[in-house]
Amino acid sequence: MKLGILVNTDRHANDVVGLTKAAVSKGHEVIIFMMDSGNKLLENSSVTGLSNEAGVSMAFCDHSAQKLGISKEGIPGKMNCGSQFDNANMNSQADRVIVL
Amino acid sequence: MKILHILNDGPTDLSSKIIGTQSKEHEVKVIELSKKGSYESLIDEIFSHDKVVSW
Repeated sequence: MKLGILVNTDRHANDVVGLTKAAVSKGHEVIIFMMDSGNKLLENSSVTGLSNEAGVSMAFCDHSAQKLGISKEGIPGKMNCGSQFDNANMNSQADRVIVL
Repeated sequence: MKILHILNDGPTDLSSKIIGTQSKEHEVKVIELSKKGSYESLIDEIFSHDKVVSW
């Protein structure tokens, strides 16, 4: 099954990582979309490193990142610098969506 | 319908009211994120419910 995780705060980095790894270990796919203050976690290598996990796809809202002045240097190439279109796709494709 | 509510930052007046009302017609489970047990068990809960609500 597919789990969508909308990350719109920077308060639950450990939970983003823990839930993603647990889901993958159980054979699920995970789609992560980061926006608003959740984009502050783009500076957290434990979070961005999830993009290297098999079965995980990640995107972030470029508009939010620009508004927050977040540098895109060092963000893994596997992360899609995207838009709310990616959020819509996640909600369409995922069997369950949680917000952190 | 089986509905799971995940309280990211603990209960609020609004979440308590809505969960209380919803419980009259549905099978509702509430998990506080800080008291979740293991991440693996939370994943199982998420996929074993029909709907998941994050607060």
